[in-house]
Amino acid sequence: MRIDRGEVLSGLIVIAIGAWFAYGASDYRMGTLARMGPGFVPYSLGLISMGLGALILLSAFGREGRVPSFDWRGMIFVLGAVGLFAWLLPRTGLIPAAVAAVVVAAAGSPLTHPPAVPFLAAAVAAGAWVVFGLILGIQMPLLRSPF
Amino acid sequence: MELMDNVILGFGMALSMQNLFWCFIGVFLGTMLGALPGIGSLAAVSMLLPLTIGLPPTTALVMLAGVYYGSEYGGSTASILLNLPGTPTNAVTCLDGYPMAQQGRAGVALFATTIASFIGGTFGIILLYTVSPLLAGAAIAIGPAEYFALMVAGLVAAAVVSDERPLKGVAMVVLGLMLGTIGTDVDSGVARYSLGYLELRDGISFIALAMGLFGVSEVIMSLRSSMGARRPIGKVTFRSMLPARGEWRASAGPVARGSVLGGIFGALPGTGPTIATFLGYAMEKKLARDPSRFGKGAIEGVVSPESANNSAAQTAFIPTLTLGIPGSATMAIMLGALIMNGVAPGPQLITNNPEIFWGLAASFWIGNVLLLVLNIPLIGLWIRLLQIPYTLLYPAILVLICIGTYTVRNSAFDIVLVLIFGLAGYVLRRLEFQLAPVLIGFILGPMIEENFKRAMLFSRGDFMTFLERPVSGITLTLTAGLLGWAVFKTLAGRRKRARPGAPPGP
Repeated sequence: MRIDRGEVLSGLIVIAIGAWFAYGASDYRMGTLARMGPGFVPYSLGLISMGLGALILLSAFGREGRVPSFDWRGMIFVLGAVGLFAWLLPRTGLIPAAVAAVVVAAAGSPLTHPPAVPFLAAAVAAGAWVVFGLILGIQMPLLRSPF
Repeated sequence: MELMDNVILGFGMALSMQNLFWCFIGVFLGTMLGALPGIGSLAAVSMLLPLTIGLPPTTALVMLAGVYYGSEYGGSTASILLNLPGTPTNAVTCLDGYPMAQQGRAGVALFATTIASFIGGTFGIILLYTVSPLLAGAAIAIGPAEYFALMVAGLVAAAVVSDERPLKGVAMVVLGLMLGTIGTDVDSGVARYSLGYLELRDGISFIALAMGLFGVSEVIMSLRSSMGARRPIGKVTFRSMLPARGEWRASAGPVARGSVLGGIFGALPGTGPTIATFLGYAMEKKLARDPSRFGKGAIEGVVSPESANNSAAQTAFIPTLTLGIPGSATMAIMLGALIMNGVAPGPQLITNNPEIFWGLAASFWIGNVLLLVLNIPLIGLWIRLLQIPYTLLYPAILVLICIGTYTVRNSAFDIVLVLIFGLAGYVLRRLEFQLAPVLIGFILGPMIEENFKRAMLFSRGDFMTFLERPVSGITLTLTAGLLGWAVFKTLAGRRKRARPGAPPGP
């Protein structure tokens, strides 16, 4: 039987998100049609989303298709850089966070030229400090001891 | 003359030193970011939005608008020189712009684009000036049921247009609406879906959503494409930029038609610049005496989509500013910026804050003039910028995204949200979901919910109110038709899957 696996996955994701919102809404009061409680709209949206997901799932049958490939390396290093930045910024300040993020992110591409990375990291950290710290005067710790 | 008064008020506002300065900064940075491969106007506007914190609302919007059309323009530079469209809008410009560059006529193409953009933009602004007050006047009279209907129609239109599987677009709108319910409910004070995090009680920061969905996911998507490779670009001198006599003449008609087409489609929700550019190109090809020249460097194929694009970029502000209904994700960000600055968008904007509305409209034109004077001498700089390898750019872009998000609410939690939405955005894009509807749904969500609840309260819980009132009845019936078509097309379409990353064909 012909089936488009990418669309199956798409449909299941949409159903799952809808189910999560609908289930979560059951904690809140539904109210009446004239006086709706906080749960009514999210609950309805969750149900609509599940219906749409089911239709997308249905459209997967009768045609060919694969699950698309993901760039795992790029994903891990790019998202890792963002996560590391978020974790370091309040603990060590802007400059170490920017340096760490650049180094981790740079590892995400096979085309990166490793000797250039330290220079890039220094340039980005300096640039961020000048633009956000000096010119815009945004309140942000630049460098702090994590202990 | 009321129109004259408005023009004078607007230019008085826009010509202040502060606004001029930020307009210049916006246009300059916008063009720069737009010229970089892989950054469209949407990413450019969301990345630079944090720079406007602390500025007065008009100035902030003047700058963001500069970024918006600057990046739309910069994107065309990358398309012509490298065949790398930053956005689907620019994909059309590649069709004839890149062949022109290969024939050594890059200078002519860039110059013609600049002029065509300026004419298109000017036409769009004239429409903005004349149509907006009429629309706002009509909109003041409508009630919550009509508002609800118009917003739903706008959302559905934005979701189903130009998509192979329109239902996936609708699913993304609903996702955006659901994300919009996160946070404290205005009526009851209940903190919905806060999962115990204090930060989520204020709702999701729309900057974090936009940066994750568009910025971070774009970076991951771009890593695999050939953007790391350098490509040689020929030198572009000023002399080589001037079009020949015949080319001026050949361009006049296409620019005029493109401007009108763009002006109309830009104002309609959901269609926007992308459709306008595709239609402009298709129309010129139909009208041409020798259609076979298209795709091989026909100047008409460059100037018509570019004038349509810029005209549409201006008229897209009409529904955004007068009704508070954004037609595209970029407009949704503009709307978000207004709300962040404490300005309520909607029909009352023109009456309550005329200086904001007319100042903005005037600054659009000044921005277009700046675009013209800035870009003709700076084309050489943009070309050099295009030669920076992507491997050096993307780590810097990521850090900019992180700091930008942090500065909006001084919250590291928001950077974690960027990570989550970046992951979600990448997976969804690989599965060929369109993400712009998520953002539009997210921005409109709270307004839709409020108007829906109000309309139901007025009608004492009777759904028929939406159908009995003529404006909302007609709008919702048309929307239902659109949805029916979307279901049919999704289930019945057996066309070959488009390869991800390939520019959509006209």
